[in-house]
Amino acid sequence: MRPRIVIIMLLAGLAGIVGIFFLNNLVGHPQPVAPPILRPEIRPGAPPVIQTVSGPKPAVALNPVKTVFPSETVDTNALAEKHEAEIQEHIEKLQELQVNDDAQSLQAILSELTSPDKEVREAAVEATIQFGSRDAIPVLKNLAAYTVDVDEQKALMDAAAFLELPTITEARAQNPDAKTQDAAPPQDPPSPPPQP
Amino acid sequence: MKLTKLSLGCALVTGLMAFAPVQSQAVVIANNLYSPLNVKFAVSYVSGSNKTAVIKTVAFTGKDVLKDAGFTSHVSMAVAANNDVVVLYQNGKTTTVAADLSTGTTTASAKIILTPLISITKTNNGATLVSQAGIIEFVAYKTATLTTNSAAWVDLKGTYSKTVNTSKTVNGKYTSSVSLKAAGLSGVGADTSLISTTPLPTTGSGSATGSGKLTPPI
Repeated sequence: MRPRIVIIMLLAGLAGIVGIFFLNNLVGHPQPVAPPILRPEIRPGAPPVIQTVSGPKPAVALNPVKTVFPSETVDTNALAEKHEAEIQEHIEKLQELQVNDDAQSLQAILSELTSPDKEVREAAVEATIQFGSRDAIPVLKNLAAYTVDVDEQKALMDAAAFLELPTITEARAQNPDAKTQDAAPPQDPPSPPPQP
Repeated sequence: MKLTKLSLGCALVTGLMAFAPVQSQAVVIANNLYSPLNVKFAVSYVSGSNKTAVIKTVAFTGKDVLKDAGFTSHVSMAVAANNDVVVLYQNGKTTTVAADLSTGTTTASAKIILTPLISITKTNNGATLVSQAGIIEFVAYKTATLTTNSAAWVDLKGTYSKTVNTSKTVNGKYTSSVSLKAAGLSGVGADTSLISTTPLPTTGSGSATGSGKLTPPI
């Protein structure tokens, strides 16, 4: 055989060995499986919440909670702590907004009803109730119609039903004969046992 | 062009700061963590009389309670680590305890009484998680004020769950996170404006969550 043919054959063999080595590595170390992306359990085709409420665009926009995919080199505990901190930040923002009475604050609260994180969505429902505007009722009902999770659907419907109730101020207006004397406050309950 | 954009940006930031909303998130005052307290109630009553009588239900929240009790704006209800209910007042970036409803004011009072029935404590590398569940009682009343000429009270009971997460102390500080939830409260209430000083069927719920950095006791 000619030396050129021998060299070509040797190179081909070497390439084969290298190929087998790489394939072996690939099988030996499978790629890390990314966790499922947190998504609100809403049926496809659900209309965006923001579009269903009249009023100006919210000035107080909340940043979406970031979902981070862990890799082999990332500390998963640190990521979980970071994610928790981000959720807490959103919840605190909602608590901050619910004491206001302006349309922008309501819009910002309603935008969190479709947050990818369940804890934030729950806090948004509570903030909507505490905000106390009937403008939120169609949004809550609309969202409930597209929500798959039964518990979340019930929470949305309950919130809408609560906001539909007349307020104490409205009831007072309908009762001009309202009594002005003090109602007897409840007696002091017994002292509770010491807490742990 | 860049200078114009910068000026506009600064003006916008200044404007947003001027109209910054009331802060209601958890706050630490004198090394005490106060978590915002969300409560809501529904009271049923008889409206009208004889043939026109119907049972109606009215709803109110903690926000309504504070307005009713004569507290002005920039206030929010919160619960301390020892379960005391307070009214927080925010003036700019400074938050203070405006009233301790657990001891009561001239116009309002509110108490949370927890009776834990089960409890677990887990520790891990300096961090502690306490989870408990039991019976909660929420008692509140308000007298007639200049804002409203009616008096009202509620006394509700139910079950609750509470978690207190305490982190490891780092650089002389630790983080405390509290979560208190009581979903299905029921009991009695009354409001003189509903032409009733007798107990009325009342339902409600309450929750308080918050976290903040505290200094460990010496």
